[in-house]
Amino acid sequence: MACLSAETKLLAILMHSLHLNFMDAYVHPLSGDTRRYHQAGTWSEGKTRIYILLAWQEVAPLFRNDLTSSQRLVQQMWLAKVLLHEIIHAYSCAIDIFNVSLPPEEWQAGNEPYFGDEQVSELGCSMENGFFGGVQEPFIDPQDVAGLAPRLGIFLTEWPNDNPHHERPILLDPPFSRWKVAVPIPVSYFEMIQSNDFWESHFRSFGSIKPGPAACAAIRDRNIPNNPYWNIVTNTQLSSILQNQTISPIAAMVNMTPDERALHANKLRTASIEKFYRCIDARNNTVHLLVDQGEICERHKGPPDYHIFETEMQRLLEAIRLMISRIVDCVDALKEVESGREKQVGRRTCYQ
Amino acid sequence: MATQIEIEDYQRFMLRGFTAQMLLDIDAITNRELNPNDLNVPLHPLLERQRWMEFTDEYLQTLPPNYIPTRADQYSASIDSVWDVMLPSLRLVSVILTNIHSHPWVCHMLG
Repeated sequence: MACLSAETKLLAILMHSLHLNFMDAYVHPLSGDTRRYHQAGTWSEGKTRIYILLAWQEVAPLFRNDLTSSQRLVQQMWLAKVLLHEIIHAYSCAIDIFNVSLPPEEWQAGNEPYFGDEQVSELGCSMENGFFGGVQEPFIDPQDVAGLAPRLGIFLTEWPNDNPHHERPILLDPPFSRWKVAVPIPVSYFEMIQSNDFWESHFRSFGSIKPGPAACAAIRDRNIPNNPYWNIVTNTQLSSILQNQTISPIAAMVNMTPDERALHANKLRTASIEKFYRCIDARNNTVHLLVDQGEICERHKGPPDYHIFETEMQRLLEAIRLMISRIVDCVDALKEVESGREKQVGRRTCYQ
Repeated sequence: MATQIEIEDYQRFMLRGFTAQMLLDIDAITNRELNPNDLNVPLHPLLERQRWMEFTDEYLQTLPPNYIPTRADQYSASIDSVWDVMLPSLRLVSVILTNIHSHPWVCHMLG
C-alpha cells in the first residue's frame, strides 16, 4: 500500500497549492511566444503554488450548438484528457516539492514548466499510454484549421514517439519503434466511458479504460525521411507488422476474417473506381490540350508560317495520340470496375 | 470545384491516410445519435469550482510583468455557461482519478 500513502501525501500538497485558470493557446503565459498552439500548461512556483492553465480554445468548441452527439462526446473526452494530462504534471510538481530537503531560503523554483506536448511531458504521454493504450491525437488539429472546429474524432498513437513539437533532447537509445501507428477510436468508446452505467457496473469487472482492438490502423515508416504517406492496414496485419514479421499477401488474405475480407473487397473496389475517375480526369484535361493545340494550328495555317504550321501539326498529332491512350486507359479502368462489380453481385452480365 | 478524388486525397492527407468514408465505415465518426455524458459522480477536490481562479487585480499582480491580456480573460469558472460546458469533462476526469489510483502505472510512477 506504499503507493497509496505516497499518493495521499501528494494529494495533500496539491490540495494546498493547486490553482487552475485559463490561458490563450497562442500566447505562452511565461514567455509570450506566439508561434505554437499550447493546449494547456502546468508549472510550479516555489513550494506553495502549482498552476494548471487551460487554453480557452479547448473549451470554446463546446459552446457550439451545431455539434452532433458524437462530436460533443469526442470534444468532452478531449478536454478531459487534456486536464488529466496536466494533473499528472501537477503530481510530478508535487513530487518535486515533496522530495526537496533544503531549507526554504535555499530552495530553487521547481523544474521547468511543462508546456503543451513537449518531450519532457513524456510523463503525461506515458500516463496516456498506461491508461488508454496510446497517446491521443485529434482528427482535427487546431493548428491546421481556422476558427474553433471541434476535434471530430481521436486517434490512439504509439508511445514513445518523436513528434516534431518535442523541444527537448531525445535519447536515441533505445531507438524508436519503426512504425508510427494511428488507430481511430470508435465513437462507441466515447459513449461508454462517459456513461454512468459503465463506471458503476462494468468497470468493476474489467478495470480497464482502454479502447478495444480496432478494425484497422494507419501506419507510417519512421525510417523513411519526410515521408507523408500513411498506409491503412487491418488489425491482423498490424500485429504482424509490429512483431516485425513479413507476411506474404496471400497469407495475409487467407488469414482474414470475414469482416476483414469485406473491408478488403471494399478497398479494392474503391481503389478501382478511383482509378477510373482519375482516368476520366486525365482525359478531360487532354480535351483542353487538344482544343488549344487545334487553335494554334488554325492560326498558323496560311503563309508565311509553313514551318511553324508543320511543328504545330506534329504537336497536334501528339496530343491526339495522348487523347487516344487516355481514352484507352478509361476503358481499361472501367472494365476493371465492372469485373469487380460482377464478383460482388454474382450474376452474369452482357458485358464482355 | 474539387472532384471527388481531390476531396478524398485531401482527406487522406489530413487524416493519416483515412478518407471520411473509411472512418464512417469503422464507426470512428458517425451520424447516429449517441447517449450523452450522464456521469453524476462528485467532482474531484482538485477540480472544484473554487479552485479555479478569477482575473482579479490581486491575481493579476501575481502574474509575470510581461503578461499579455487575451480572450482567456473572459473565461472564468465562475461564469455559469463556462462551468456548465466543462462539467461533463470535469466529471470524467474525476471518475478516472478516483478509480484509477490502483492502476499499475500510477504505482510505478509514485515509486
